[in-house]
Amino acid sequence: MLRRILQTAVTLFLMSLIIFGALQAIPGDAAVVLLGEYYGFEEVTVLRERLGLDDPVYLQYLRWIGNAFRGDLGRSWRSNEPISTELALRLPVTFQLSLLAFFTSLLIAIPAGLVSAARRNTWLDRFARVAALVGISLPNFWVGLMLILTFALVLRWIPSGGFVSIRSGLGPYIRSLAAPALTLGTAMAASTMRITRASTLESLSQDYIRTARSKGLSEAVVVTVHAFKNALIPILTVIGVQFGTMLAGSVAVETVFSIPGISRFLIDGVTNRDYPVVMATVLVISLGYMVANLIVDLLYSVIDPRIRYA
Amino acid sequence: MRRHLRPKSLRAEPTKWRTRLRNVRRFFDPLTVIAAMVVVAILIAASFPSLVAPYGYEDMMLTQRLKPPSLQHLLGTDNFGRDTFSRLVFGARVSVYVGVVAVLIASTLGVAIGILSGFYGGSVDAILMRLIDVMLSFPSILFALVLITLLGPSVTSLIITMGIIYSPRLARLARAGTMSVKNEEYVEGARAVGVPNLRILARYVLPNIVGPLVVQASLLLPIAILVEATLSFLGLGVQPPTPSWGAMLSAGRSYMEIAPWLTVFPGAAIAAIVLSVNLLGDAAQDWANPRLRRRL
Repeated sequence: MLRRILQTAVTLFLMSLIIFGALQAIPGDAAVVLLGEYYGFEEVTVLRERLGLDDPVYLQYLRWIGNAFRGDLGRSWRSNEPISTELALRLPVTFQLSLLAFFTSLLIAIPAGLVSAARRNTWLDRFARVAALVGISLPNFWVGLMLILTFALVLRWIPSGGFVSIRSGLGPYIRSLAAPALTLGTAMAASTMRITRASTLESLSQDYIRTARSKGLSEAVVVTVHAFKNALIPILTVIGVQFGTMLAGSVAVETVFSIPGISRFLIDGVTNRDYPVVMATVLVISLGYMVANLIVDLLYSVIDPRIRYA
Repeated sequence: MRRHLRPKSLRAEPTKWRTRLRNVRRFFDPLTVIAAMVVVAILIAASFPSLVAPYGYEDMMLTQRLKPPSLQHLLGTDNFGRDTFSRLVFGARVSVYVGVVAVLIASTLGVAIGILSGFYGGSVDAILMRLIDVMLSFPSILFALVLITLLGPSVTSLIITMGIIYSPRLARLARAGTMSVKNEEYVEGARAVGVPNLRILARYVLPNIVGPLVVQASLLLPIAILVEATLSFLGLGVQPPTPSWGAMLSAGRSYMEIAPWLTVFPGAAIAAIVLSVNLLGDAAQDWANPRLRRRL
C-alpha cells in the first residue's frame, strides 16, 4: 500500500514537471506578455526581477512547487488575485456537482447493466446497449443545452443556469444542480453500464453460479448477489477511469450551466492565456484525480480480500 | 450459460461459408446500414459543400434574420440571416478534416515512437515509456488545455494538440507489437542478410503489427470529432467566421429561447456523426474479431 502511495507521488511529481516545463516553453518573455504592448526596457527588467525570471529554471520550479505545498499557488496575471482564494471558493462547487453526477451515473448504470446481463439478447438488452452507445456519442454540452431548453425555457421547472448554495434551501439547491448532474451522470453511465454488463456476463458463466442456481436460489439473488459481487473489480476500475471522463465533461457542463466551478476557472485561464492560473488548476485537478484513483485501488482489497497490498 | 456445458467436440462447428454469411448479415444489421448512410452523406457534404449547400456559409440575408425552418431555409437562419443548413454542410468539412488529420498525426507520431522504442530498447525506451505512462495516467483533456494555452486557440493548434495527446495509446500498442515481432525468424533473417534497420522496420515489422493499430486509430476518430466540437464550443478551437458545429452551438446559445433551431441542429449533427462512426467501429470490430461478439 505504501508502494502504491509512493507511486502516486512520483507520477504527480512528473506531472508537475511536465506542466512547468510546457509553460516554460512560452514563445516570448512572460514579463513582456504581462506588460502588454507598451513597455520600456526598465519595466521589463524590474518585472523580471520581481517574478524571479532571471533565476535558473530549476530554482523557479522549486519555488513554484514549494509555494504550492504551502498552499500558495501564485497570483492570476489577469486579476492579480491570489489563485488559492479563488480555488477555495470553486473547489467545493465542482466537488458537489461531481458527487451528484457520480451517484446519478451509478443509479442508472448498475441496474441497467445487471438487467441487460440477466436478460441477455432480449429486446431489453438491445435497447440498453444502444442507449449506452448513444450516451457515449452525444456531446454532453448539447445534452445540457437541450435540458435547459426543455426544463428551463419551456417547462420552467429549473433555472437556466447558475449555482445556488445549499444554505439557501434544499429545493433551490437541488433545482440548480439537477440538470448539470444529470448531464454529466448520463455521460458517465454509458461506459459503466457496458462494463457492468460484460463483467456480470463473465461471472454468470462460472461454476459457483451453477451451484447457486442448483441450490434453488431465485434468479434475482443469483444475479445481484453472486454474479454482481464477483464482477465488481473490473467495474470499479472503469469507475476510476470515469473520473477523467467526468472531468472532461465538467469543463463543458460548467460553462453551459454557468456553474462557478474549477473547470470554468481553468477554461477562463486558457482563454486569457493566464499561465499561473492554468498551471495551478491543472496541478490541483491532477491531484484530485490521482487521489480518486488511489481510493479506487485501495477499495479493491476491501471488495476482494484476495487482493492485498503488501 | 447452460449452452457452454456441452463439451466442445459435440457442438456443430459452423462451416466457413456459414460464418462468412453471418458476418455479412451482421454488417447489414439495420442500425449499421443507417450509420453507414449517415457517414456517407456527411462525407459527401464535407467533400462537395458548395454542391450540397443552397447558400454560402457567409451569405447574410439581413431581411431573413432568425427565421424558423421553412422550405426556403430548411433548418432556419441565424442572427445574421445566414442559412443554418448551409453552414452545417460547410461545418462538416471542418469537423471531418480536423478529426481525420488529428488521428493521422497521432498515428504517425505514436507508431514512430512505439516502433523505435520497441526495436531499440535501452534508455531512450525507458524515458519515452515513463513519459507515456504519466500522460496516460491523467485525463487527456488536461494536456490538451495546457497545450492550447501554449499555442493559442486555432484550428492548427487544435490539430497539433490532439495529435500529441492521442499518440501515447498508439505508441504503447506499436511498441508491444514490435517487441513481439522483432525476434521472429523473418526479422532475424533480414538482419542476417544485411537489410538496414530502418528498412527492416518499414518492410518487416510494420506490416505485421498494423492490424490492431488501425482498429485503435478508428476508435480515436469519434473521440477526436467530439473533442473538436467541445473545444470549439468553448471558444478554444475553430474561430469564427469558419463554420464549425461546436462554434455554431456556442453562438446559438444566446438565442435559444427565440431560435432553438440554432442549438438543436448543430448538436444533432455532431451526435449523428459520432454515433454513426461508433456504430461502424463496433461492427468492424465484431467483424475483425468474432470471438468478442456479443460480449461487450
